[in-house]
Amino acid sequence: MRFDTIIIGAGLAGMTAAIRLAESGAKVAVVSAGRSALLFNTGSFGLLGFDTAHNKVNDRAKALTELPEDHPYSKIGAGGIPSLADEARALLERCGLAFRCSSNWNNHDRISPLGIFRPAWLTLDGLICESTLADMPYRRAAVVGLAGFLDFYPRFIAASLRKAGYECDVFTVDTPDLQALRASETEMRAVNIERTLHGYGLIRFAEELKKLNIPSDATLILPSVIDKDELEIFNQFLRRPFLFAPTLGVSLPGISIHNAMVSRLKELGGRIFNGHRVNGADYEDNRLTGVTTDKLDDDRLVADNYIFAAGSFFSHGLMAEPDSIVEPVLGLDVDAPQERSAWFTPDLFGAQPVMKSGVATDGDFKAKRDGKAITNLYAVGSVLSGADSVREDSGAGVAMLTALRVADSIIKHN
Amino acid sequence: MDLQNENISIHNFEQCTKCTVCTVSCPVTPINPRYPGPKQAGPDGERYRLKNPEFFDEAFKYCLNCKRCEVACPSDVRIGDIILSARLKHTKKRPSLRDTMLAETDAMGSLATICAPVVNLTLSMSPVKYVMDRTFGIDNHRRFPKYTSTKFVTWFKRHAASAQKQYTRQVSYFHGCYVNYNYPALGRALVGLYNAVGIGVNLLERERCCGVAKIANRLVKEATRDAEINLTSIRKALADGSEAVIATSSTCCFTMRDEYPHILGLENGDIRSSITLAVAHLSRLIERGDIKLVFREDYRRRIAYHTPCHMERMGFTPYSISLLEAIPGVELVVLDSNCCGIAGTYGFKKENYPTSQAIGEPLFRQIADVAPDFVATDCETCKWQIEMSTGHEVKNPVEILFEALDVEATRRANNLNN
Repeated sequence: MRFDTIIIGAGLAGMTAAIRLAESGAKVAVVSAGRSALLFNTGSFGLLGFDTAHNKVNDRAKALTELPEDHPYSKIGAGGIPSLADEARALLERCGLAFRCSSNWNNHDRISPLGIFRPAWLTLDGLICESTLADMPYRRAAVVGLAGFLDFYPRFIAASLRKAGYECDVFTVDTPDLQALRASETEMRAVNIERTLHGYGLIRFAEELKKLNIPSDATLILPSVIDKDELEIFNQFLRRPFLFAPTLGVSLPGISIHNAMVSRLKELGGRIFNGHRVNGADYEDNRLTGVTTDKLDDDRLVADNYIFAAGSFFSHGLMAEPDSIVEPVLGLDVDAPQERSAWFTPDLFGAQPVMKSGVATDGDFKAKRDGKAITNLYAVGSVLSGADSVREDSGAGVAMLTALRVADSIIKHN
Repeated sequence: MDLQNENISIHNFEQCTKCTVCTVSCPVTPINPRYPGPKQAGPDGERYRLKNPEFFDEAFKYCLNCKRCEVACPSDVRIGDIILSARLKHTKKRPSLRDTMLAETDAMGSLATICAPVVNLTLSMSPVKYVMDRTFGIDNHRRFPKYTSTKFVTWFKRHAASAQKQYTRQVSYFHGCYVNYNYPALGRALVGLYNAVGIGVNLLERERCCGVAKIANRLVKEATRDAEINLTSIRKALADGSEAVIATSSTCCFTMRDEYPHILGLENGDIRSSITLAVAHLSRLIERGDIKLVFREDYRRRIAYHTPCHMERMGFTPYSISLLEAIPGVELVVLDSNCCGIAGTYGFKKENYPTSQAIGEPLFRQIADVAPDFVATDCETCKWQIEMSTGHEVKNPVEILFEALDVEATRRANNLNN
């Protein structure tokens, strides 16, 4: 099957590249081996939360220039970041996603599922963060947990809000629908709760909330378990201001971002090979000429350009062997410390060198194999070497910005 | 290191990282909280069951075997296989008479087609449905697919078999129970389509039910016997010169490719890639430039495509979509990939009916919104479910390709003179 560009990986990086290319009129295919880490996203995107000394970034332009040479942002060039960041946000908005806390280009504080204020670049509309809180009419909040729901921590969130100067109480709500769901306690997950709190289930939920005697001058803080298409009904029955806080594990904001991007790509005519694992690649004179998957028998997927966005260890874009870090899909070169002993430092909370390992690329993100750049194969997102995305809180930014940089250069060359 | 490479766990269950992505994709858990979910029933529970079978839970019977958890899993764990294998291994109760009757598609089909009009009428009468509901536990909301008086195989032998010899290229058609006993029109369309591009169609020497219904109802011995007959026939057909063994049912195809080795333990690696769906085979031939399809200029339809679960698992959806999109007059809407809820014989059982309909609800709603001329899908039980629940007609992509085909022009394009 022939395409203009084939993207391996349907996470944030792969979908961003695919959408951008499809918007330019290209025929694209995305190959996706299982769901991506985007499902765990809590509705906030980080671009660069912490600098090289692990301090919260206040001056982002300065922090960007301080990054080491092999960091993906350094390859883009600090000067190119702001326009790509704007482009990324515009792309998400074209997918129908709205962000409240993004009026200026600097970081804002959002609240993590464990109740910690963390720096963020974008936060989905309706979620609790610095500016949505400030917009509320009250200086008082009530965090409401759901009985038996273990992926949400009302007390931690309340403690943080108190530190930030809010008066805050904690409540627990229960409904017959939640009670029924608790028959399988392991299945008390945001996604299953969301499907229970629909229609009458949602109305019953609103009614139970009203019975809790929550002070009328408090903003409700609820776990993110209500479908955004149901919010109108919920508002009608609840009739008071509320914000959502993220939950642990697979989260509704993460799913809604994923779904919005998938819908956008389908609308643009992009094709998704769901559940296909790339298991072979043919090279000719430093060019990739086709890939095979475990589902296509004798068929090959062929394109002019390929983008490798297979993700990091979770998604098996990278694998740790006993004594080496490898890229198992296309056999690409990997930048990683040689000796296993050099992967880690004894300080558990310190920077771990293994976290920066990833696929080696040239200055244009062309992936290297046997020391040579493959001329039509680009690597983007968390499979790239050079960023410690968890520590820097840069995962979403690296994913989207490298994807856009590569998509733009493919568009320019055609 | 060798130890690690050689110690591959059953159905890859040790690769599970407990990420819970599978639970998101399960159509059952939000509807039926008695079902413990794919992670708990699958890799989590398997660790315990290996030590002590007491950890088996009868509630695993609520699993649809849709395999959507496997498609979602980033670590390639065969979650659905783990659950199904556990059910087959640990369920103590014997399959009931009802389950056996639902599973014996060949036997029931052969009997029913002998006096199809009487059977069809009887099965559609409300007193009969009432009795079946009360005594057997077959839900009275269900409509049984109508049985045909002339089986596909009978029609083929009488009207098509002799004409197939004129073609140098040959494929073998695994028609399945549904085409044979209920819907021979699909089989006739398949033969017409292949003949129009210059390929002859033959039948397997012996074809039995693929076994999916028997596996689901725990009739393992019977399913294995059928599977062995099919595998022998398929090997023979390929040795005799068939290019491929093609099916029009995604579930038949999936069962023979994947459930045979994974669930029944029957090795098929030598022939697996030759067992395929007609849509995949046709796409491949078109891509290689071996054949051309020419469509009628006056064919105009708005079609909604529904992805059956086993189609999703096989990864064959792009084939059906690209073939349907290639028909100039077709406006194709690809529906969100959601389970329709019937899962073969599952939805026929009285205890599963409400779950089955609740699972399908998002799909039914979307079909109503899209308001297509008809729905396209590769699975016959999805067809029954969607037709019963939405009132929209449902067709197989092969049927649609054939009705949109300009047969004469296609024959000319493939250099066939008469």
